[in-house]
Amino acid sequence: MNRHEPGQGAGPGSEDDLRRVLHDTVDGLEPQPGLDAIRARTREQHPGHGRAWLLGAFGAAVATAAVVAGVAVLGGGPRPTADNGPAVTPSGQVSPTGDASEEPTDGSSGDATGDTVAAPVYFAGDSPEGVSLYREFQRVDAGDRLRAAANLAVRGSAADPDYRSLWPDGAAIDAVGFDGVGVDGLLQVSLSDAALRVRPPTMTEREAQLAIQQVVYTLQGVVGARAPLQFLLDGHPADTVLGVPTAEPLANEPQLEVLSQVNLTAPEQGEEVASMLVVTGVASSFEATVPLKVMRGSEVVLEDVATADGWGDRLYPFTVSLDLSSLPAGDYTLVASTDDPSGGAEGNGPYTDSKDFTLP
Amino acid sequence: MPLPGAGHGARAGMAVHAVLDADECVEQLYAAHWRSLVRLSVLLVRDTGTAEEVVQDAFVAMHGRWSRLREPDKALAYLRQAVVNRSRSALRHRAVVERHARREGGLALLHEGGADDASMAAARRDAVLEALRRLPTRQREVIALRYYLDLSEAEIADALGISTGAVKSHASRGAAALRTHLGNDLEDLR
Repeated sequence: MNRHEPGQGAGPGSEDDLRRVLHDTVDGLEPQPGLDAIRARTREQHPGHGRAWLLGAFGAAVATAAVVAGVAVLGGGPRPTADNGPAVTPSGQVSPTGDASEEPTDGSSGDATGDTVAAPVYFAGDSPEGVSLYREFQRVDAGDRLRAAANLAVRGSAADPDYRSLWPDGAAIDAVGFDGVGVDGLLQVSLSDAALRVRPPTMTEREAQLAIQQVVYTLQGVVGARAPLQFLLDGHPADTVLGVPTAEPLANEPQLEVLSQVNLTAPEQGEEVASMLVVTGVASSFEATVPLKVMRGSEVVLEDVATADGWGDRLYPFTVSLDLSSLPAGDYTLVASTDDPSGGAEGNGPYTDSKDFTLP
Repeated sequence: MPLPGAGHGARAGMAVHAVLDADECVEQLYAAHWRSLVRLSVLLVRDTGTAEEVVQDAFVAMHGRWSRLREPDKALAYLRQAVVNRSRSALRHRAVVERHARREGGLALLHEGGADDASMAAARRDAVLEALRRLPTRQREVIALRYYLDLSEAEIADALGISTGAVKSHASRGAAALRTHLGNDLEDLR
């Protein structure tokens, strides 16, 4: 098996040191035998039930996908009422992060054929809170944008390698409907599998809440309105999803509780950029200051700050241009973070988001 | 019958998965991979007891999902992925517990204890595990899968659900950072 050389000029021979170090570190450990314990536990499993709890979900999703064309409007769900909670943020913003105008123009990915649109998709990533949600714009089929975007979120199909889904493996959304206009509408989301009612034993409550919010934020972003969202199973409101009560339509949780407090929009992961790099994103960072670093490997080759339009109560957009003309062609990483005036003395350190890019 | 997972290229033959049931597959994979998977998890979570639990859980989950996996190669790939994911969760859970413990006025954290703590080998092991702990999660995972399990970039990409390009960049950043953290220790360990 051939190893690839690490990009930073280390030859293949020098990788052996790491290989040897890791083996030296753990090869001496002799784990306790575990087979009896495993056998005792697998004996409790009923074939086809119990812990094999998402069995067949994928097949079901595929079968349904063939029938559900485009955006299905599902009838019969309860209408949101005045006391369904804050479907609109206190500031009156109706677009997901106050940035509907900030969504990338179709030109960014080249092919404006009219068949695809850019959709904001919310994924999970590590953060000082343990895990928070990050937004990545992806192109989806215009005729199927709601379901396509929701499934990208649920499957964790992110371009950024730091992002993932919190939904269990195999989970899928069969159909998404949106009736009405703006916050008067109701988003209805049909889940693939009744097993998704319960929270898997490996998932924390916060992860379950955030998994739900992945879908809420994604779909509210796609329709451009803070519309309430109802999960459905077999056409009826689901009482719980991943253990979270969902009998009533759900609102979005406040941004600062669920979203990473810095999130890059451009450059996109893996993008080839111009020497005048336009960096955009959203943040809530101390005094609206968003420190930026351009790294080549572990070396910082450029530092700058962006200033966001605000901070403290929600995420605000920022834009700054970085002049990269002094840098040689190659692969770089842009790291944006929140400002931490305490220098790490308070809290769990800054939020960060990073994108790899290539300077041709 | 070939050992499951022996030789990455070798597809399990029809005859094998026609007769192999979930229990047999658990047994075979246990015999071939229990040690290395626990050690892999130790690299990710530091603590042997936690690692054993993580790998046990992964085997139980694999058994429960056998009807979807059906082939030992797929089962092994699933096991690896489950071990990495569950190690990550264990770590996150532990971080919460530690923060809590510290707030409560704090007990000592995670010591593997025992007489050979004093020994050179244990001190080295701690230094390496500490250096790994300082890497971002993804880098640590890529480094462990690549340099400990000797997986190919494609296999790592598969296990972590990321692109091979991302594997490359995590590997090169991770290796550079690990060398920096280890510094002189690495010279000693050569």
